[in-house]
Amino acid sequence: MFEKKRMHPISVILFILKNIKDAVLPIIFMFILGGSGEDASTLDLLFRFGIPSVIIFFTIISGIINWFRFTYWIEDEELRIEHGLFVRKKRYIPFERIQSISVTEGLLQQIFGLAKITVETAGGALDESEAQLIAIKKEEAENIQSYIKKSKKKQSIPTEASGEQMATIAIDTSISDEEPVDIIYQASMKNIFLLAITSGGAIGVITAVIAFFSQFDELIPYEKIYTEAQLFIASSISLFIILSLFIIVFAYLIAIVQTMLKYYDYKVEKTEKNLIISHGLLEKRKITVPFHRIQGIEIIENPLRRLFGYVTFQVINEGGTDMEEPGKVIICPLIKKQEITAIVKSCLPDYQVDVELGTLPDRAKIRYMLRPAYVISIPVIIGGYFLRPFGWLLLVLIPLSMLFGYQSYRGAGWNMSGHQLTLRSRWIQTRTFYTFKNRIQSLEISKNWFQRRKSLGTIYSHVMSGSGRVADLDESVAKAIYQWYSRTDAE
Amino acid sequence: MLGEPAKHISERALTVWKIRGIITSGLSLLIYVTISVVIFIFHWPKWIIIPLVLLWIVETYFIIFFNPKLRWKIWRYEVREQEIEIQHGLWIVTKTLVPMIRVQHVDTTQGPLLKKYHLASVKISTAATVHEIPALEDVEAEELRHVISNLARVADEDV
Repeated sequence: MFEKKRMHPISVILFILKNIKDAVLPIIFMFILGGSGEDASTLDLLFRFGIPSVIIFFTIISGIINWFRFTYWIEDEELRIEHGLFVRKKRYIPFERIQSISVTEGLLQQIFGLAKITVETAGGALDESEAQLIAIKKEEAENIQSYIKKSKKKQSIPTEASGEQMATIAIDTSISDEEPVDIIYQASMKNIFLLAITSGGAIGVITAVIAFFSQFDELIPYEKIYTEAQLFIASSISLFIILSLFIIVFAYLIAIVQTMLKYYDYKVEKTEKNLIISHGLLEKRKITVPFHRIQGIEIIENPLRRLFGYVTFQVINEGGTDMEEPGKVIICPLIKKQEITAIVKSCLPDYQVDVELGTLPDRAKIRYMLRPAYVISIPVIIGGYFLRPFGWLLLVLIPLSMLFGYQSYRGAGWNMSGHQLTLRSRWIQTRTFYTFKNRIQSLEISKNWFQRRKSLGTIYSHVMSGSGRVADLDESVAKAIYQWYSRTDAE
Repeated sequence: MLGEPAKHISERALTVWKIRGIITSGLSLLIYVTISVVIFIFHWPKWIIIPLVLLWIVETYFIIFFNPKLRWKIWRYEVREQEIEIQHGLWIVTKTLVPMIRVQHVDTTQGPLLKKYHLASVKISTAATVHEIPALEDVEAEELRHVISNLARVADEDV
């Protein structure tokens, strides 16, 4: 354990496999790019076989070198790793910086009685925050693990010399004995598939494809060609349609595969201070959300997913720099509505999700119904006028939009209980926003002229990197929320 | 129940807003004149100018007389020990509550127009939002800035 050591030679194979997996896409690409059949030129052959074999050759060589130059040992209460061919990279990880150690066995490791040891530190970026010994003897892995744990325990005693020494020791042992991670959510393959087929990504790809082809529509001078070759164009139009349908389906499939790859092995772990979300097959992503940074939570019900009874659960994070969407971090991309209470309870026990929501007053109904009608009435009238007589069929959209507005009215709600404020609004998707009094940065009630006449008000609660809003609450409710937030007692 | 916040902003704000209104009205007059010239050049029907003139008159009335007056009437604020309350708006009246402990920093700003009338505006920033109290007497603005930043600091220590 204390002398410099190499890993088991199997790690060469593991390393090669890992790198080939990363290079699989370029290899396939080259294969397709290269021509086929008898008329394949030398260049094509070069593309097809030359480049992939060069890639594979270098992967194998670098795998061997990597194994040869990679050494690890333990010294001075540090785990030390040195690797690299020309540039020697040294990585010394002091034990007190180690957050967690895990020992896992993959298929290959199991066959040879080996194990993989992963050491995580509290660093920021993914690459920097962990060190892996991908294949070492099982006993050795266990020895290292217990050695690190033991010396971590020892360290904590001399640092806290006086006073509450006993208590500190007790706490420290309990922490290091306890397995720090606790898996609270794992998406099943079925869920990931459902997520993929209902994802915006797929819809995005389709709209992009449609937009692309509508561009073609203008580019291709149909009329000119039409006079020249009527029959030909007639058949090619149907070909065109079939082709575009085919491409849409293909794009949809690609989007599904993309989403599935992205969310593969999706899991959420809970440690003492953080929620850790990790997912991805080809590219492993990992997001750490410290509990104290969570400003509020949101439950999103998208209409398509609601059909299957699924919702999305996300938290509003104070904001980091490496977030995909600043502020909002998805915890469960897809979860059965019934399970949400249990999940939230297990990861954020302070939040109460299943509160009963108050509804909006009756007099708000007409405002909700008219609002979307206003928005679409102008385009509908213009469209109707220019496409008459059939354009007037667009008028059907107005009652439909009012129905939509009615749905929004039914979907809206609010609740105050203890320190928690819950606001729900519905537009295309239903969004339920939960936050605490001490997380709200400022609170607003706004009333326009019509709202004043009907004693209604819109409430906004702003938190860091997010906000919640419900329109047309009863004036007394809005005032009550305002009063709830106010630090000055009511007179 | 909480009533309206107690304090009005300076009455001179009205003057400043009116001057701003005059400037805006002058600019839009320029646009309307340009449109009229285009109408003459291209021999479009001349009656279009009549609604333009009416539009300009109505607009001018609103931005110079009606809006500043109503806005001033609605604008109120109150700085209490633990929170700041602001009410503003014209057609949409908004009441805002900002707790002292959420205040990150306070700025006073003063443009040339405000400076001429010895006014200043105070900007209160939280981690999520910025709230402005416009057109206070500049002495008052300065004082307010001190009060808020002191209170915010004290409240901060309480947490």
